[in-house]
Amino acid sequence: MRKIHISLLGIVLMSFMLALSGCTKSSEIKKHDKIEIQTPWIRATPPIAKTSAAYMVLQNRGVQEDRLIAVQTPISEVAELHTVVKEGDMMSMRPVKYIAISPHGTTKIKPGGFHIMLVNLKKTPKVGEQIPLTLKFQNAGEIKVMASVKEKQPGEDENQMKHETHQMNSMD
Amino acid sequence: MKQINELLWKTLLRIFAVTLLTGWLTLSVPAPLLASELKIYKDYDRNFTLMGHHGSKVSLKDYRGKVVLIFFGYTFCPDVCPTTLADLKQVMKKLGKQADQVQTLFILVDPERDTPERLKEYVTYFYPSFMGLTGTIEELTSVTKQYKTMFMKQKVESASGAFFAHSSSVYLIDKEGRMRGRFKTKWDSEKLIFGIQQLINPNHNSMFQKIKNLFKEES
Repeated sequence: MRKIHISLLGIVLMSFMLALSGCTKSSEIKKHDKIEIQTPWIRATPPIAKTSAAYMVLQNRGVQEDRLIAVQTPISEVAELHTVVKEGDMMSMRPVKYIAISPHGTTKIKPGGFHIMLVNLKKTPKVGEQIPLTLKFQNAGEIKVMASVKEKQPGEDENQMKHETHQMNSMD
Repeated sequence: MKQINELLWKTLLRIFAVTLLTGWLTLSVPAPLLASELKIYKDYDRNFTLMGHHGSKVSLKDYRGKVVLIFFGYTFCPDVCPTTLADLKQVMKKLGKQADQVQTLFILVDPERDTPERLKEYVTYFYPSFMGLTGTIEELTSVTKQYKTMFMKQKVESASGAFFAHSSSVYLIDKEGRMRGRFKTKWDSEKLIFGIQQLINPNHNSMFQKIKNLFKEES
């Protein structure tokens, strides 16, 4: 029974996410037809945390490479572009000058890889809030988006749901 | 004749139940993690002592009888650490009542910035029973060595100060303090949950035990 609940929740979440991405499309794409920003989100943090991170998927509809070169948000003093470097089991962070999106390509800014580190938080991001981000691209210029504050990467629940559904079916 | 019929029906029902159960278990149990495959790492020390986020010393042996999860990081870490802690919160939720038998220890390798008071607020935000631990650089070096890993202050600095390189694994420790496996919550959360359940109750999820229980009821 719990599994059914989880699946239902997953379906609701998914349709909600679809609706959300639809909103981004209508409001953002018209203005910036080359770069599309999908599912921007910011990690919710404990009030004591001085740092958080912003994530999203960048899609380049143009024929030229573009680069995300700077980010600003009112909730932190600075926003830095980073990547995570894995060496065996060890993880470390490294600042990067830009995040490239190849022509007709997609770059995922997601946990464990590229991230936009929000440094010296002025305000604690809480689940459910919408926070403005200004993204500066080399070619596309400035794009403003609203990022929702979440506990974790949205897509993960989706996989979870598929897995659960699979189990349910196999029991029938 | 009636009796024979009944017996036949019961047997058929049992065969049906066993087939169903076996099929379900095969599909639902992560294949590489049946009880016997959680090996015991005998060369790992079974104790260490660090400062707990409540301000007094905490030893691994204080948690004998509980399954312990250990993870290394620092509170200024914006990505890997909060991601893993959020995953571990999820693991605890999925364990339901069994979460009472699990203690997560988050070992902070940045004692300059991460004082016990900071730790407490940070760690308990993710889950009330999570415990933050820290110590001197020497103590922390010794604990990371004990788990055959390390941590390192990186040369690159950001506006937030130093970064640290650290292990990205969750270490699974059994009720006797023995190291039983390393897991990445990003890929292995289900396996980790299964591993924890195995250590809480070795017979709980065993396929043979479930089948045995099915027959025990009537005999």
